[in-house]
Amino acid sequence: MSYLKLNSLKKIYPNGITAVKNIDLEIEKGEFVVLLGPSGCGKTTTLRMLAGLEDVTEGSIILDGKDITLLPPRLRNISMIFQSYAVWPHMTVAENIAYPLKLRKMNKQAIVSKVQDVARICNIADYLDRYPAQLSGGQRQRVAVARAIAFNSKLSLMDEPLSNLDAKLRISVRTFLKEIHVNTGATTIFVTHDQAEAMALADRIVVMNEGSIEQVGSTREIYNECGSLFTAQFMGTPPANIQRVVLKSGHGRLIVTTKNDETTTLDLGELKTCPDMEHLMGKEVFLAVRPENIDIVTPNGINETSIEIVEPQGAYTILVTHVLGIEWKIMLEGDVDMQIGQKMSLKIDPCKVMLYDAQTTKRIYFA
Amino acid sequence: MNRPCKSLWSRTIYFLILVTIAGIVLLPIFYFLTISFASNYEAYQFPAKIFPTFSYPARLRYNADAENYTLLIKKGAEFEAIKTTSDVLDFSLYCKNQLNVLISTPSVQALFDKAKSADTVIQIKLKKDFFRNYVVFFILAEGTMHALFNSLKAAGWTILISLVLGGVSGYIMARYKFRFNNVFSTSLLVVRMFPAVALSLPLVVYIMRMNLYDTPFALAIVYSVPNIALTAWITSSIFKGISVELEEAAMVFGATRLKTLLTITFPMAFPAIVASSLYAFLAAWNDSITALIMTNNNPTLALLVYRTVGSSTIPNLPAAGAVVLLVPSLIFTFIIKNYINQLWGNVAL
Repeated sequence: MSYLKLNSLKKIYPNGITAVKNIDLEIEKGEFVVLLGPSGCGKTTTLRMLAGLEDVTEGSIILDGKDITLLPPRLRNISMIFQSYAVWPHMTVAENIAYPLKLRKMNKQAIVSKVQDVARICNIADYLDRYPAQLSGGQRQRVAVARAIAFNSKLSLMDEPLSNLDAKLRISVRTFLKEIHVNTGATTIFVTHDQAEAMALADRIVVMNEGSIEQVGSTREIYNECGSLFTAQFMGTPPANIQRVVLKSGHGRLIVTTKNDETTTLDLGELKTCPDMEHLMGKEVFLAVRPENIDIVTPNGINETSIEIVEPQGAYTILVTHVLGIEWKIMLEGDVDMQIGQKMSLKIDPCKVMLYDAQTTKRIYFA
Repeated sequence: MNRPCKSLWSRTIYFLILVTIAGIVLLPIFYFLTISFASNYEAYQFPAKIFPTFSYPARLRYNADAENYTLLIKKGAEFEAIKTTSDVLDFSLYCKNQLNVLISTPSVQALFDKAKSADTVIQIKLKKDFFRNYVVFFILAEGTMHALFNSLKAAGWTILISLVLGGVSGYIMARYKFRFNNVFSTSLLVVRMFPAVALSLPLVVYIMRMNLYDTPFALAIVYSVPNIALTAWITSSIFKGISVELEEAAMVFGATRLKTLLTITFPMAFPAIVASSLYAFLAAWNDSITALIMTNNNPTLALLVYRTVGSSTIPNLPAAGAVVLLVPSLIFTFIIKNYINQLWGNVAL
């Protein structure tokens, strides 16, 4: 039995909007799980249902063997870090951290020492007597984290806690949160729309779209083995190049073309073993290729194209070109010296090509 | 907030404007205060004095032919005869009633003897009993203390009723989405459009039925009607400004809804609640029209002052009453001002 279990969780708002369709999820103790998805995908609603701030329309939540679906928030023993930090402005930092402990009727000395402890961990020991208005955004965030740690709950929820911070601070607080998780081992559910955050923090990522789960997996799985077309489109900066193509075989090579223009083809290279490929031939599928899985070689007659835009990024370079009539992005390591209009041949690793059913958008596994 | 002024010129002009505004606002009040300290004699004088006086430069003359004494008081450069009498008691009473000077009959006799023996005009100094009008208003006018307590009770009840009902309405308007939310909040304002008289006349009937006629509580009910609406509007705007996440955080971290209200929401809305209570206090404290309709034997202080104005032809006694009426509102306003300014960490919420 897993530590936290969401059984076909569903949320329909009184105005008829379905925010969460059907969520089934199991989380182990000590895991750091990130709910990732575009805005309006139901990730925050799911988190708020876990906290008890939204009523569950259907389904149940089991935490540590106990059904908490109908419990009010205060009886769930769950801590939460809010997007706006939600540190109480009329209390000092120390009072903010102590407030939940006072409600638990902890004795005064224990509270004082606990406050001191977490303040030291979160690096806010010098500000205990200050009011939140006298602190910077990052410091307020640390107060919110300290409050959550001191609460010592069964489950720790974080609702986009980094999105109100500036870009530089975001990276350092991200590392700080990971550090806290490594040290405390608290079971954490983190909601974000930022895939870099998700990939950096998560033991497991839950990709959500339109109220349901698209895919659950480690960062590596989510990024490299996208189970659905949505994940392939959503993950990666820039995301995978996606094109509707018709599969054609040819002498052990995988060749694709488009329905409209069968004269232009794209050679994906040699397939060592492709037992299931035969029945797919002539079918229309979605082809997804990550920009970094494309290499360029000097023009050799195969997949010849020309560079249209060069976007140097320091650590890598993005080239923009046209493949089978649509714009593709190619990511090359390092600072590549390329000129606009320069001819090149594309070399694609067939093992890293992902195909999706044109109707269901589900992944087609091969090779 | 101290905004640094750029040059001496702009600073001078800035202060000149400030002093002018303060003068325009304060001068009538100060003049009013002076009148409240004036004796009947002074109140009749023209032009009236700007600053209150503490004593009269006076002379006493013995008229040998009529065997009586004449009191002269300095007016401009000359001395004006204001009272001629031979009776000691008459002189003493005149001083008390017209000049606010308390002088006993033996003292008067001593003065008379002195004037007679000198056989000429003697200089005397008549010291004014400075707070005479207030003493008259409070002790000699009947039921002033009773009226003061009635006013305090009515104001207290008004604050309580408006804060409880208005605060709850304000919270609901701010936090809950329901049908006719806008209609509800606008209709609250419509109530304020009715004049107090229009409300109190029909209400008298009901209040008599409830056996509450002529009580401060009944007054408070009428005063609360427009104040509930005002309180609801003031507090709802503050409650709207308090992030829902702050309340949710408290509930997640173990607080009940009531505990959240008491420890998170109310402390943060405190300045607004205090401001509303000020409005409620002033509305109850300053009213005399409603009290005129709704009370009989238990008038409020404002009504008492109103009656004094009606019964007196000289402005000094009503002025003293008005100052008495003003002092509690001033004290209340100044106490509350500190709370309104008290924003945590010197930053607005």
